[in-house]
Amino acid sequence: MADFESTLQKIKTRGYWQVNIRPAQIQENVVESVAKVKEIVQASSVQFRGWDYPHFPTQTKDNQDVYVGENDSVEGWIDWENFKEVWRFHTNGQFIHLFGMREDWWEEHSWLNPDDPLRKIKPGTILEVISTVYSLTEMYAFFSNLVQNLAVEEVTVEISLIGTKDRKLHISDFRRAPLFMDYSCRLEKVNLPKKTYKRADLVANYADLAFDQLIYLFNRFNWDNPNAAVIKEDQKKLIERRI
Amino acid sequence: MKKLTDEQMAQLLEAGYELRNIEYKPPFGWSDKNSTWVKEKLARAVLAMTNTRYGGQIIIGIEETKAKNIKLTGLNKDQLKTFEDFDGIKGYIDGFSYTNTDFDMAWGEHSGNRFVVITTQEFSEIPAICRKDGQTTGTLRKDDLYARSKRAPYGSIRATEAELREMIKLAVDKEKADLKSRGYVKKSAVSPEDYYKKQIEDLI
Repeated sequence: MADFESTLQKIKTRGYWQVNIRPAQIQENVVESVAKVKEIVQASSVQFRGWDYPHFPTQTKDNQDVYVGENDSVEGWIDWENFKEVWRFHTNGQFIHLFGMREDWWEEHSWLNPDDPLRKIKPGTILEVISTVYSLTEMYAFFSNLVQNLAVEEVTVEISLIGTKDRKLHISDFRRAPLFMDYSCRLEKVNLPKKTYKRADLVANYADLAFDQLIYLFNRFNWDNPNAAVIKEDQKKLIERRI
Repeated sequence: MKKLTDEQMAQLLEAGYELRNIEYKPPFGWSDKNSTWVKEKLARAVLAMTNTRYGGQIIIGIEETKAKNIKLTGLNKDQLKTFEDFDGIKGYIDGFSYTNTDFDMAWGEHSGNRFVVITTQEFSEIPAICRKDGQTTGTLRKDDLYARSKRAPYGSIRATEAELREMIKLAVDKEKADLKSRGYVKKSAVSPEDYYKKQIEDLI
């Protein structure tokens, strides 16, 4: 039976995202109770497409759970289909989320047809461009919601993508033109710039802040001039739930 | 009043001129009429030594000639006797300082001449600040801070930037030592990054 720890270990066997948001200064009891912690994560979670970010398990099953953990925290996890996630949120306002790159777990996606091209993608070989735009935008939308529920003025955000070496950018949507050439990463992992944001800035500009990180990330894949207008349009469609 | 050995006295006079931590004063009797000026000069010297690293010694009984040479005149018996009222002298000098000074008095002989030696300790917590004006013009002025000059010719002067820096550093060092002795050891501040990273180190 899966649990938080086994899911964490499974996530780390392939490419994964590591997302951390915390108060910029040391604070204790930013959230009054662990019960409130649960409530805040659930209320801040975003769902622009079929899956919420972060996933908040609404029921206890063999493949997902949410519960009170150590050190005044709440932990959530899921290991279902190609969704592999663990997160922890402490009452001092620190949130960490690790989740497997979905590109690496298509083989566990039971809904795909046996002949779907996605099944032929080997783990560790691609980073799906549009999904990445969506993921980073969702993270920042979540941050924006989160800070509005916390008594903090500034937060620090650190995001890493681990397992990127020799991975190529890829567009899976058959309706979109494929990338003109191969863009691949030579780094084992990409640490996006650590950022400290004022609450008001994050709330007002979360999509633009996510955009800056997207450009940084794509540049690390040697895609020097991604089309900003296209990325921003993809972000807009996501936020407006038009995808 | 304690008597110094001849050897100790000889050592004090060995240099033959004033040093940063040794000052000379001419012979006089504490209860002499018209001794106000020299007593105030002595009080000023004690305050200055108090505010100087390692403190210092003031030797009474040495005159300076017109040619700037020193003359080991010494004190006569009557003059020496007037310095036996330590409490009275201490009270007089401390009257010019917001904080008490810390000094001892002794006497010694050299070549048949008698001298009084005032050994002043460096301040223990905060420098000595002049509490009131003296009677003689310009010798002691309220709220002045005196120190032995860092450069020759050495004298008890109103502290300049150089002496003030030294005094501040001394005071800070003493405060640190005091805090340490009381168990207040400065801990290295934990950065927010270290604090929060420690909490999630089992995951990353």
